[in-house]
Amino acid sequence: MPGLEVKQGGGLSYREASPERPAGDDPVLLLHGFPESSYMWRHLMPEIAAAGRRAIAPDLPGYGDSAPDPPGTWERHVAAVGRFRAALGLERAALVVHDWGGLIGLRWACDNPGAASAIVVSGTGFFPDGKWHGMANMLRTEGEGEQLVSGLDPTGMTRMLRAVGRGFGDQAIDEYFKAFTSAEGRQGILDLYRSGDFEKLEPYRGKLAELGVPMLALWGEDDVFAPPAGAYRFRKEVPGTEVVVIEDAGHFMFEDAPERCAREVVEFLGRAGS
Amino acid sequence: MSGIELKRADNIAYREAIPDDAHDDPVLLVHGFPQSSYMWRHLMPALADAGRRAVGPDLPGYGDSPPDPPGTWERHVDALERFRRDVGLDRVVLINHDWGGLISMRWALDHSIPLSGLVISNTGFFPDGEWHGLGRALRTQGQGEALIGSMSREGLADMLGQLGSGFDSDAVDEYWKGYATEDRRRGVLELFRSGDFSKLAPYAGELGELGVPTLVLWGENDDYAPVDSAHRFDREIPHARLVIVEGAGHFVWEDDPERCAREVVAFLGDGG
Repeated sequence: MPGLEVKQGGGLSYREASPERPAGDDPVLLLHGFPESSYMWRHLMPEIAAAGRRAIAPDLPGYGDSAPDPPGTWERHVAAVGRFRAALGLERAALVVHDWGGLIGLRWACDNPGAASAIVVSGTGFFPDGKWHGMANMLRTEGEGEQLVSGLDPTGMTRMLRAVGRGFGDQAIDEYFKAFTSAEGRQGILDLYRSGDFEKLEPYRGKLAELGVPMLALWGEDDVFAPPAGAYRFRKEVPGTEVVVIEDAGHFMFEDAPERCAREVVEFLGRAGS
Repeated sequence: MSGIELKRADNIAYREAIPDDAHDDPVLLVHGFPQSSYMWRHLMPALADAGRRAVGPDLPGYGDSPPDPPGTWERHVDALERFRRDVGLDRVVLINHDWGGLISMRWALDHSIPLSGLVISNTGFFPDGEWHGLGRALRTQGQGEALIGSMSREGLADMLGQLGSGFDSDAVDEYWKGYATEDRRRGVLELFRSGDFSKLAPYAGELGELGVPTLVLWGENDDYAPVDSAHRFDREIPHARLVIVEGAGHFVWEDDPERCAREVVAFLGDGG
């Protein structure tokens, strides 16, 4: 099984898994969500490489081992993905996104038609009528958000993540806590949520469908942040989207059910043939 | 100045301040979330000095009272009634704050408690009430568990420090007790999840019909229980006295304890 390397490029830290026998398909670009890092793809990336594809996953600025690059807004993250792509020379890639990685990555894909040759969405949304969940609303609220991020310690992070996922080991929690360890990082989290106005997606109506690329909506059945109805919404907006809802998995299904997720993604990418 | 004693009645820990010469109805003080009877530490001696016995329980799961699952609104109402019987209170002045208002006013109406005065502070009691962001998040399955689990003592210290000016390290230690164990955290979620304001529909207008002298005492800058609610209590309860404490927030009793004690003692002296 190919291993994971941690590298630096385009101003970001990233993980890469390289195939021993490249099959000539597009590489796969994986964008993590909140409050995670590219470490969330640790199970999936070697499987993608074993199937003959190069897998590349940046830590978005302020998360994992990438330094914050204030302000940590949605738009700045979209721009960071663009710079990362250019620095690594990723002309076309299959895109795998989760949570905020979806809001960021799908916006980037729509802004750059042709950049994504297939898309896997999970635990996210991309629609102007979207509504934030309660915790996000707290992060978006002056005062409440500051309290939430500044008050989090490793014990609280552990309890928080384990309340909503069963796959979080100690190492994962240490990895994901990095985003909360500096004042700049914590501010970046607030910047991100406070820039997350779904109205900004108004100009993107219909754009995902126009990309005309194969899409898989991979969802945890018990997702309390982005309920599975979101998967069907993607299929409604992008006809032909495959929907896979994973039982006994929640929002963090890549942690809860890593083998099943890897199998679904690898098989989909094989079918998509990009 | 009278002192405060820590006591226990069955499973309920409580604070009591006893005057040298009690000459009026006792005062029952019911704390809110995430606090305990420690929040009344400034007020209780002042009440005793004014000749009133002052009794403040720690609701089950808060302060020094162990949880008594489930930690729902209704269970707290029951616990308060058991406490009243255990300590032998009959006619009382009721002073409440935050969740202590939701619990104790429901209790007083359910059990037709004879009240000789009522002090309402930074709470709500309206069937069309809406939960603030924190309340909504705690009420949401999964998210509430994540949120309550995320809280650390330092996090609570930060939160209270941002919300109010009167929280010292002892206060944080005291209020942290409400989060300190798994069953207590579970109780907090049960409390918020049982907090459907629609349950107050049968009580509409009843506070006003009690005909009890009422003081509405409110910290002006409150995002949780906005000052609009103070004006609404004032409108809905005939002859209520309204005191808005400027410069104070949700935790008005911590922010401006002297002013609060002065207002309450004056209100009681005027026949409240």
